[in-house]
Amino acid sequence: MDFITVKEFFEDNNEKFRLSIIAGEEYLDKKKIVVSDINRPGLALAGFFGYFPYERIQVFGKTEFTYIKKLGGVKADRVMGEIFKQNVPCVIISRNLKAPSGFLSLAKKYKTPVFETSLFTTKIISATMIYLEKKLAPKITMHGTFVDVYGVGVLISGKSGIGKSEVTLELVKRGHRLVADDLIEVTRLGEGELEAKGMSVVQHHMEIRGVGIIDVRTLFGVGAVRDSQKVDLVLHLEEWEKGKDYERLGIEEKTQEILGVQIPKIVLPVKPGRTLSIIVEVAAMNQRLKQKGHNPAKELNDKMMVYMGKENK
Amino acid sequence: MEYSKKVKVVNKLGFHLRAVAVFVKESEKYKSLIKVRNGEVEADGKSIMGLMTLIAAQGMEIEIKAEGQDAKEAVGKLVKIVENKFGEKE
Repeated sequence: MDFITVKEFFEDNNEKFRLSIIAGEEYLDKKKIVVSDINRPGLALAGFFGYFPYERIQVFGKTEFTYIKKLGGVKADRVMGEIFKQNVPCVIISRNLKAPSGFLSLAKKYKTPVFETSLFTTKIISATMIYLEKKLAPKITMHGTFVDVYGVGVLISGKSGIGKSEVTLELVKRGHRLVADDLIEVTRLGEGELEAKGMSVVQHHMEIRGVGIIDVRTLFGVGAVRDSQKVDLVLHLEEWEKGKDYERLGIEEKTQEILGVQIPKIVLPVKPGRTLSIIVEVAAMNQRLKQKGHNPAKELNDKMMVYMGKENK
Repeated sequence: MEYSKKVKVVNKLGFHLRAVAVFVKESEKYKSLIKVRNGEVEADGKSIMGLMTLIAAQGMEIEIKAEGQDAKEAVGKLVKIVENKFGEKE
């Protein structure tokens, strides 16, 4: 998402972060948060505005308020006014500190919401950053099913009717956990890591042709589902085409780019008589081995090289 | 061939389960790849669970897209189904 409104930030967190509004309630849904960073306006209070990250949430703690108090009178009013003038998204006061005189009226004047919390400054900063990182992370929706197989997040893609749901159901029956069926919301967390989950309404429900809609959680128990999981592997199902080259060795890794992250990809041809769920299990285990630095195809090849070297002597 | 058309959901219950089933029964007849979009969410037009996720209620405008040899025919027919309230009375 590109932004969230301050209202959304407040409604999502007011209990957890112990936030209460002390000024500017009427501007909550007009103010937007576009970055996950937080600013403590220390340098600005000292009069430096050469670079001021106005787009960030501004947090005032004991340090800031003590400094303002020390400045006192006109000087204090001027720097506070200067900060509010920058059109910051909102202000958070930590430790339920009492705002210096003039602070709240300036907030109202420049239409800026002000919250207070009983949390300590560093606590509220880290909590807010974690929340915003998740909320503002790039997202896309993808088609397919998403299963946790031995702790490996396997995203199964393919045309409708190819049997994604059927394989997934088989995997669940074999003790693996369903994350999502059909529409998957993928979020990029940090650099190079993707997390995926289902869409709220239908999460953990599946449609199986001939049977209808099933509720996997009620049917198999809570142990058979999970809410979200890291994406480790893309498994693409397609109809077996005669003459098409399928992976035989697994030395080179194919990948699929999702939100700028390269995820290992396997293309699995579907043919009657191939028990796909077992192949998916093996692929997942093999992926875990690869993540731990083993590549069976490469190792076998190395072994052969050593063997041939000996034979030649 | 690619083809798409916007249509307003007019039936009272919107894309509820039975409506989705009627929609999918038709969309599956076509070879084309069919997608339905509501706002930012796009679902596979041949998937019941996908279409449920759209939460397309009465009054919302959705877009039906198809890609393939029978795209135009598919979109035309599917739009008609939505306009005809999925065969429901209200």
